[in-house]
Amino acid sequence: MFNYNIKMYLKIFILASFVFITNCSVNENYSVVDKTPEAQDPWESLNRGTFAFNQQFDKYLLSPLAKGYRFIFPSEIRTGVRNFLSNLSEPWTSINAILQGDFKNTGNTIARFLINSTVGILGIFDVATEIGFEKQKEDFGQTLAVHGVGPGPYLMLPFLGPSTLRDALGKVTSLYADPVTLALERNDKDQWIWIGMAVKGIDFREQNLEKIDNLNATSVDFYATLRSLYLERRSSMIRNQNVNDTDPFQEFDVE
Amino acid sequence: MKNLLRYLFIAFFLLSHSSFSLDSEVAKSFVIEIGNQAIKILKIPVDDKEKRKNELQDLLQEKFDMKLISKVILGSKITKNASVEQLDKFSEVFQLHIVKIYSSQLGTYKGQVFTVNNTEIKKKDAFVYSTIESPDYPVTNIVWRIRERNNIPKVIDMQVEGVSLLRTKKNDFAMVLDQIGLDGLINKLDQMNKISDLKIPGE
Repeated sequence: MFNYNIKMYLKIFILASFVFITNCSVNENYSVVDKTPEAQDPWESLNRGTFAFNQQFDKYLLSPLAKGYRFIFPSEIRTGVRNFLSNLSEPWTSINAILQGDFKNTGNTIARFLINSTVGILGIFDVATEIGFEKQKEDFGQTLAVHGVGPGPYLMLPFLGPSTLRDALGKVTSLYADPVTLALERNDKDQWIWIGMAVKGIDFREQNLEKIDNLNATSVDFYATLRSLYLERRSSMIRNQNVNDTDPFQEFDVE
Repeated sequence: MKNLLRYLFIAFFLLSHSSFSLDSEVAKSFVIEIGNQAIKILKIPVDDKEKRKNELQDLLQEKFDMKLISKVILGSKITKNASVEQLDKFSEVFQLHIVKIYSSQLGTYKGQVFTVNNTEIKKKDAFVYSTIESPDYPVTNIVWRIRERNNIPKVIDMQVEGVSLLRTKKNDFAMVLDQIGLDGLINKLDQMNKISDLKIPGE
């Protein structure tokens, strides 16, 4: 019953988001958002509230867990876990690469999955990168962007952090369409989806413990810094997007 | 007529020469120099934080146009209304702020290899594309924006994996500037610069 309710809620969220995003991409004001990382953040006060919650979550749970994870497990084991989880995301990456018409990356991702699942012992060792098949992440948010869907407003997600409406929709879609997720659901092993997500989160935080803490300590407005970093990074990850369309030097070009 | 053509030719030559005054090879070797200096800083033991900071400050002063970067970060509206003293003070605290950021994010030397790839000239700037390869991390792409300032090449922005230093700081300061103004931001940065040294990744 609980699972059913969650699924219903997610379906409603997807539909609502889709309607919203479609409207956004038609709206003139939003049509240029990907080219200008200074994002539309109409929900800033709500987002800042969620951000404050996330910071408490990080302070009391995520960061201590990440420190414990680093303390208990040696770097070789952490790398193995990271590779294993990363390998499980390759089938979904290859589907997105197909949907984006990027056949070179599709081939690369399939090769990576086959090599790492076999020679790399279930993905624990990233043999593929060593022989020249570099990891390239593609998600459904990027697929939507490639097909012209605007990012919509900036969105701070509880627990998950910075996003946009489009990218949040991408995350939700992956819960329904990722072959690995579907296989786990079909075998009534839903709990592994959440465990995998939690481990990924802890691993990411462990890898960036000092970087994130230092970024926080050296930011005047950490919320705005993260927003800027996220939007620019996403913009550069999406093909054919040029982040330099509005050049901040323009107003000083007379010098 | 011949004289007229000669003058036109000279004028054209001067104009075309000035718009491409920054040669791509000059920009490339300038970035290689920066890369070598950065690797030297990475090699300084993490315990010697003071030396790391000093070297980084020298690098910024020598190779970056911090005054122009500061002005662009503040935007033309604030710059026009600010006094020279305010702008100088901001430039000074901002430079220390950047040293604080990078000395805490630079990490340690673990066999990183810095490679300069290609250069593009767009309007009056050269964009130099480079990579850092490390045995532990995926390849990092860095784009350097170089402009000739008083006949010397200077970095005016850098993009790490598509994220611009200038835009990030512009966004970081926007709300504070709006709420407490330039003097408020200067005070805030001054206080932040006084906090004790942060833990370096890999320390």
